[in-house]
Amino acid sequence: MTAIVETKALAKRYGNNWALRNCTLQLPQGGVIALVGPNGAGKTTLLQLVVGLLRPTEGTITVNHRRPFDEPAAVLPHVAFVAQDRPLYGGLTADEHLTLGRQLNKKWADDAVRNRFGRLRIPLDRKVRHLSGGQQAQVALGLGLAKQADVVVLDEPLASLDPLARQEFLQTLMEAISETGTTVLLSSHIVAELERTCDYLLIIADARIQLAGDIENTLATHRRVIGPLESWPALSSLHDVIFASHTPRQATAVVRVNGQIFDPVWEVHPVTLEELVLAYLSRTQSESGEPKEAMT
Amino acid sequence: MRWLLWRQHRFEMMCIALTLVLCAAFLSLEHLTLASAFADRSLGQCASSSSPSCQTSLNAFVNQFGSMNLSIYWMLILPAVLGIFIGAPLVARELESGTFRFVWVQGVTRTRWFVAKVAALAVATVVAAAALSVIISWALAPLIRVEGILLMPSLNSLTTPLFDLTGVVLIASSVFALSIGVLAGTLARTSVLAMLLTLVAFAAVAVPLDMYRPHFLQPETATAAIQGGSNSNLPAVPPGSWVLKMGFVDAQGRWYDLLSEAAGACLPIDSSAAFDRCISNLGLSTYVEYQPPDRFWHLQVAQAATYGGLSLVALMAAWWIVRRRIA
Repeated sequence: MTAIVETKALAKRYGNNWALRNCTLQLPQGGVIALVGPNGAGKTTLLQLVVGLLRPTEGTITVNHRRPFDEPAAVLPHVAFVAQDRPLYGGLTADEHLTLGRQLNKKWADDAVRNRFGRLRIPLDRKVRHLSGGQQAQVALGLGLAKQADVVVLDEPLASLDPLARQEFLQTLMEAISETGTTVLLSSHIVAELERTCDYLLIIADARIQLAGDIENTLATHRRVIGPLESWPALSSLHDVIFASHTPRQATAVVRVNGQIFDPVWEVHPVTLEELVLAYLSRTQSESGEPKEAMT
Repeated sequence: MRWLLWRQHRFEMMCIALTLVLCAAFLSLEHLTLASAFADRSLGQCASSSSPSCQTSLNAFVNQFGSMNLSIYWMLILPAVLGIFIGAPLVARELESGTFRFVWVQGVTRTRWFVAKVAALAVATVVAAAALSVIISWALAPLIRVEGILLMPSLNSLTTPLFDLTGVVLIASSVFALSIGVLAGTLARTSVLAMLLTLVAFAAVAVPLDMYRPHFLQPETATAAIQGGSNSNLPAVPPGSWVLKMGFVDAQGRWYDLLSEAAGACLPIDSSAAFDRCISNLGLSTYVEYQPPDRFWHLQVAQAATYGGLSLVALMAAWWIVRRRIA
C-alpha cells in the first residue's frame, strides 16, 4: 500500500478541548476514503489538518511526505478542499469563480469543469448566492476537481443535499476520478450512500480514530451474531466484541471474528456498513476505550 | 492574482476614485475663488514689501478667506475612513464568511495572498493620498502664501489641518490607517468589531502624534527686552512660524506665562514708583518658542516616518497572525 496521507500521533487542541488525539494513520493512494463519525467527533479538524488550514498541536501529518501547514507551497498544488457549507464568494458568479481558480492554480482543468457545469445546467453568469444548494455544491465540487489534485478533501459534501442531489453529486465525483489515481477523502455522518462509493473506511468518535481499514476486508471480518446468553462468555472470549446488547435470555452483538464461528447455537449474519459504523460508535458512547457489553 | 484583486476590490477602488474626484472638484472651486481674489488685490508683490497698502490688502484677504481652513478639516477623517472600510474587512470578511477556507487552499499560499492584497491596496492608497495632498497644496496655495507672510497665521503649514493634509504625512497616515485596519481585522475576525478597533486605534495614534509634533525638533526661542514697562514688543520670528509658547523671562532666567506672575515678586506694592522700579530691576523680556517655517519638511519626514514604522509593525503582526495564528 502506498500511503499518500500519513499521520503520527497527530493531535489538535482548541483551548482546553482536544478535537483530535493520538491519531496515527496511513491512508492509501487512490479510491474514496470515507471519514465517518458523529457531529463534533473531530472529522472537520482532521480534514483541515490534511489541507494545511490547521496546524497540529502535537504529532505530524504529511501529504506526499510534505507537511501541509509548514510547507503550503509544496502541498497546496496537490490537495483540493471543499469545506463544510461550501464557502464561495456569494457575490461572484460561477464563471468568475472559474477565472479565479484558473488564476490561482497552475493546473486547472477549465474545459472539463465547464462541460460538467453545462451538463448539470448550472447558470454560469448567475451570482453564486442565487444558486440552489445542490447547484452550489456542484460548483464547489467542480472547483475542487478542476484543480486536478492528488487528494481531494470534501467535508460533509452530502449534508444539506436532498437524495437526488446526493446521487448526482456522488455520480459527478465518481466519473471525475474514475480514470485518475486521485484519492478522495470525504467526511459524512450519512452512511447509507457510502457503501457503494467508498473503498476505505475511517471511523472517528470522541476525537479518536476507532477504525481504519479497507471496507471490503472490514465487512468480511465483522459479523452480527445472535444466540443464547449462556453461550456468550465462550464466544466473547474467542472474538473481539465491538458492541453487544443482551436481553435476559438472548445475546446480540457485532464482533470482529478471529477465524470462524463454528458453534451452531449462533446465528451469524454479515454486517452492513451502517451496522458496522453504528456498532463502533455505540461502543465509544457506552464507554470511551475498551469494548464493553451493555448488559450482562 | 491580479484579476482577483481587481474583481474583489474594484468597488472600493471606485469609491476611492470618486472621493478623490469630489475632493478635487470642491478644492478647485476654492482655488478659483482664492486665486482671483489674490490677483485682484495684487498680493503677489506684498511678499517683499511691507507697505501700509499691502498690509491692508493682506488683512482684508485673510479676514475674507482665513476661515477657509475650516473647509479642509473634515478631510482629516479620510485616512480613518479608508482604514475602517477597506483595511478592516480585508481579512475579517474572509474569516467571518468562511471564504478563507476556499481561497487559502488554492494553489497560492495564504501568505502570498495576503501580501498581494495588502500591496495592491497600499499602492492604491499611496496614489490616492499623494494626489489629494498635491491637490490641497495647489488649491490653497494663494492662502498659504498670504498666511506665510503673516506673523501669526491662522492657517499654518506646520499645524493641523494643513500639515496633516499636505506633503508626505497624508500618504503615511493613510497607509498607517490601512495597516492598522488590516491588523484589527486579523485580530477581531469580524468586520464590525474590526472597524471599531480600527477607529479607536487610529485615533489613539494620530491624536497624540499630532500633539507631539512640536517636540520632534527642539523649538527655537527668541527674546526681546521689555522697555518702559510696555509688553507690546514681541521678539522677531520668521513670518509663517509656528508659535508654540509665549511668555516672560527675567534676568535670572525664570520663566513666567503671564506678566502678573512676574509682578508677583514685587508685591506688596508700596508705591507705584517703587513697583515700576522693581519691575525694571527684574529685567524682564518677552520670549517666544516657535518652529520656523523652513522646518516643514523636517517635521513632515519625522511624522511620516513614525507612521511608516508603525505601519510596518502592524503589517508584520498581521502577516504573522495570518501565517501562524489562524490555524
